[in-house]
Amino acid sequence: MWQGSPAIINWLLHGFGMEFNSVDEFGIIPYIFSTVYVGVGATAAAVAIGLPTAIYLAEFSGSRTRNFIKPSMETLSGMPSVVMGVFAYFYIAPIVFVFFGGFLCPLTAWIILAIMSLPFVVSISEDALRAVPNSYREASQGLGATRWQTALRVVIPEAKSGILAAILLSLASVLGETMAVWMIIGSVTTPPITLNPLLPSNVISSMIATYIYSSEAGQTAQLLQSLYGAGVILLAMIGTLNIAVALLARNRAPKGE
Amino acid sequence: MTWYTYIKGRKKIALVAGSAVFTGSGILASYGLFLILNIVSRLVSGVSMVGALPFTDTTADFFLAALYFLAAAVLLMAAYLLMETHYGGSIVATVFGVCLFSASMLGNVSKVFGLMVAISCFIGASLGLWQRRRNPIAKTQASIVEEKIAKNVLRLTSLVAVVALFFVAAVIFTRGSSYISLTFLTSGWPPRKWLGVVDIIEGRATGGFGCGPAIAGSLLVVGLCEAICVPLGLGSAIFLAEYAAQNFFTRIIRFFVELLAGVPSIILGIFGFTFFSVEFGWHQRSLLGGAICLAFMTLPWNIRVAEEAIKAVPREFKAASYALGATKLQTIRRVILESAAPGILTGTLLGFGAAFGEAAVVIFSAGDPFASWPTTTNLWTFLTGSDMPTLPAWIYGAFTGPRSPNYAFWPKEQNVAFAGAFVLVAIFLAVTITALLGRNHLSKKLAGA
Repeated sequence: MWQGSPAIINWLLHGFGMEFNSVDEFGIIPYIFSTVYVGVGATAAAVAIGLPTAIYLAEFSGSRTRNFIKPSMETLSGMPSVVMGVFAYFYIAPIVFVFFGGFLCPLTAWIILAIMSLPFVVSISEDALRAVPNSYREASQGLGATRWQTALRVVIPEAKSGILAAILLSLASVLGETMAVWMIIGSVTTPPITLNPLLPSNVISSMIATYIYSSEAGQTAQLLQSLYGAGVILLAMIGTLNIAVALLARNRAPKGE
Repeated sequence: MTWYTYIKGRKKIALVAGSAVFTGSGILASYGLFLILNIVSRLVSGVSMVGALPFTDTTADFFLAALYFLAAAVLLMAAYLLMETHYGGSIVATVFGVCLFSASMLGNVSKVFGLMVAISCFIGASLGLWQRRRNPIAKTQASIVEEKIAKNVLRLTSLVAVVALFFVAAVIFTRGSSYISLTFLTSGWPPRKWLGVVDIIEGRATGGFGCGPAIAGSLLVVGLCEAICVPLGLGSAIFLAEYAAQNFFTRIIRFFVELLAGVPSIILGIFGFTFFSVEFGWHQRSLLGGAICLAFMTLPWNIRVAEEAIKAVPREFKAASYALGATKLQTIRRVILESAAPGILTGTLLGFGAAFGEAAVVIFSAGDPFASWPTTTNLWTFLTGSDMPTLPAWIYGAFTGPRSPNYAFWPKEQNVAFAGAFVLVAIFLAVTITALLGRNHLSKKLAGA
């Protein structure tokens, strides 16, 4: 019924085009590095803000606050990524430029990707925190702990696998994000392999978009095949993350008491 | 207990805060003294008063350092007063100290003073922590304070998402509103005839630039996509929820649905870019191709939504229906679908909103951002041969347009992209808010039932 993953079908249809001598000298490796670099940084920022928010929503907030915050975050998550890209180019990149010195750089990408994936992290983490049975909280408070101590020492360790799943899933969605990153990553042909987030860089999704947009890929078969190869690698990264999350879920289920 | 006795009772804060206040005032006083001496000497020697208020870099540093000290003193005292114990105050003091130090990176003089402030805060914090160790009562008070701090910090972080949303929306609506007009909404560039009816814009002199074709293209593509996804999603959801046994096969299906949901949009874009033109011989970018790619993306969402809505139907309804003698198909058609319909509707509406804003899939498979109204009247050719832009693709084109030399009649203004974003966000928000309100209304109805 379902084809599964269309890119694999393309891969099969268009030959095993894993060209490692495409326009960038060392092949795809700088792109892999920069994609992972941008993804991990963005996820770290999203979790740093999203996890406390989830704790607040699950443990501390009243229902009126929740009914205001949750729909706002759902709306933010659905905001079209072109709009977020335009916003980032005109408002976030100048701020980064003034404070740090880099304009279209991974740092800007981190900020805007963190904002975009924040609702995702918050909702999944909150579900994980709410799944912890209330008896744990009541027992802990019966022993004299405050709500924060309960949240920190009892609830979070119980929800650890759910929170880890949230982190991995948001990493997967950030890796595949194209439009917002395309506009603000400062497309360079070969992304630098460096830990400095202020140099313009490139990621796999943005690279594919650039070449297809300029229709160069229609001309040479070699370039098109290398784009497909890059796409397959991206898909492999995201697929690995999804499989890891599925395994986590399966480990969690038998433990239910 | 008055302020004075409170501070007197806590000798350590008095030490820290007092020294900060005196140092700050000392700096300001010395600057004042320097100023007075300067003015007096100029008066005496007859030199003009023009340079009497020297504001060199060093002077600015002194001034700002003094202000920092005063601010540090005030904040420290406020912190210790608000927190009941030294523990909370110590943490706050350390945080303030670090912030002030980093904020004083203005000049070398300020750095030294900032460092002194940070050190005094650190000393105050250590003294407070030391006291906590020896005082058992302080430990209990400390956890209360910890709770207050944690609650407020968490509140702050949860505001980030809300503030981000409103900030983005506000920016887009203010910057984009300058271009919105009926011309903008209906014209394309360059204007052409459509379906034999002369474009109303053709009479106007300007090489109109507008997002008319983009809006129409978006509606067409997303409409086609939903037309594919809603029946398929509903069918699969009914199959998965009602008919299928919970065996290996259904687990595989569910796994593939989740996998499809996780495919990055750019992959679907290049899929559409080549697959439809190579395999079926359509035009390289076509509406139907774009709709099908978008359907790949939206189908998992529709399946999920439909399945959840069907599962949310209370079991009593099904049991009652079977008890009255209905067959499975009748139950599904008349009972389950009617109860689940509002849920499916709102979920589909949300998916419509999300698909409307999806750019990466459609920009390569459905439409060149710079195309305009199509010229053909044959439906099949229209669907497979014309490339109309979609609104998100149009925004991207407007974003890069001013920088590309090919589009000379493009007004080199950045706000056009914002205008397109305005339209897109307006449509998206309208759809999303309708869906969310509908869901609220629905959940209230179910709760009352």
